[in-house]
Amino acid sequence: MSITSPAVPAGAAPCARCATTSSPPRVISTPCWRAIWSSAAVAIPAHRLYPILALTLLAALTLWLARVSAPEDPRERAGSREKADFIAEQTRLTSFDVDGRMRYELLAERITHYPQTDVTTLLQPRLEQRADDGVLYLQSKHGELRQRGDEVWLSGDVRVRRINHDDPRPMTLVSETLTLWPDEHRAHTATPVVITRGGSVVRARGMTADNIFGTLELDGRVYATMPR
Amino acid sequence: DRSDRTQPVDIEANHVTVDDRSKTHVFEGEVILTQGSLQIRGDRLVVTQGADGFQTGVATASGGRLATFRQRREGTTNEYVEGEAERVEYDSRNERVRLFVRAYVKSGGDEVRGPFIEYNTLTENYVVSGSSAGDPASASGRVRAVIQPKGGDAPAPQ
Repeated sequence: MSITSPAVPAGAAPCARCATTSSPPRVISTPCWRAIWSSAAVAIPAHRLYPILALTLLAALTLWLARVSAPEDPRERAGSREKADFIAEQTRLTSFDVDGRMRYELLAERITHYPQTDVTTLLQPRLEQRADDGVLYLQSKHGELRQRGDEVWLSGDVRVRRINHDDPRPMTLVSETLTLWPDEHRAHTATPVVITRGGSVVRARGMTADNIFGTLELDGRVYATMPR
Repeated sequence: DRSDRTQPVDIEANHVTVDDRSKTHVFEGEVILTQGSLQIRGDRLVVTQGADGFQTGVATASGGRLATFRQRREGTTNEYVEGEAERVEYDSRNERVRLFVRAYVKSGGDEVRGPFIEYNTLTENYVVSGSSAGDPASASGRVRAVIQPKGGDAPAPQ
């Protein structure tokens, strides 16, 4: 493809290498592009320039807007998790299953979310969870939801109560801390724990629970007392 | 002694697994069950709870050792009935300790050995038999008993 060299208009900056005006047609070398652009600009009539100008202006504007509204780089943000992005007071969250039966209800004095660490803290959470064979009640002074609630840390006078439909006596569990993995129905604590059912009491130094506190593994030394 | 039966049952171990549905507690590791003066020791103790508390406990030992039991004899301060077996079952409702396989009980000067011995913690009587009705596995083995004549002063326990 060969490009004929356009006539160099008067007053345009002459391109040293192709200054000849009446040379036969030949391939233009790169430096001459400047000549072409400048000649093109002159050649286009003014009324056709406005859309181009408007478009470039618009592009510049969006670029500027994008840069301004970009979230600050977390590392740069001063201060750590104090900066909450939402707080809810006196909250009640109720979740229902497919047939509209309540699955669980979570009450809390305050729920606070920190975007930087994606942690949600709960003040005085109280949970009631319905299962087919019973109901689980759970409360503590503090709670923290991590990994979007896949892991829940409870601390401060943690109390669990589990009632089986087929047994009038509830099982209770008390400890200083408790970690829950709700979806896996698992819980664990490394702080001393006291478990009661009816008159029986079991004290242990740590515990892992499965299927919503249906099976408990207690580590020792373990001391149990059962009425005769 | 007789007051044991009114006491709560205390159990100590290194680890326990509690199955809330079947109401069983499996204690493991240096397990000691105590009820008043009655004491049962083993490496593993499976406890089933009744409506209002302890019901039965089955103690076993591992590594060829035997589970043991002892209880102070009524009206004495330090005379004990002692026994051991591969499996020691204690039923607090009807005050019975049943010893299965390589069972041995010693009370004062009397000694009894056999595949199965049933000891009544209330009356302190025990019955030894070649095979227990409840446990066909214990083949009818030899029974050996040394019974002291009544009224004779019992020889010093070996």
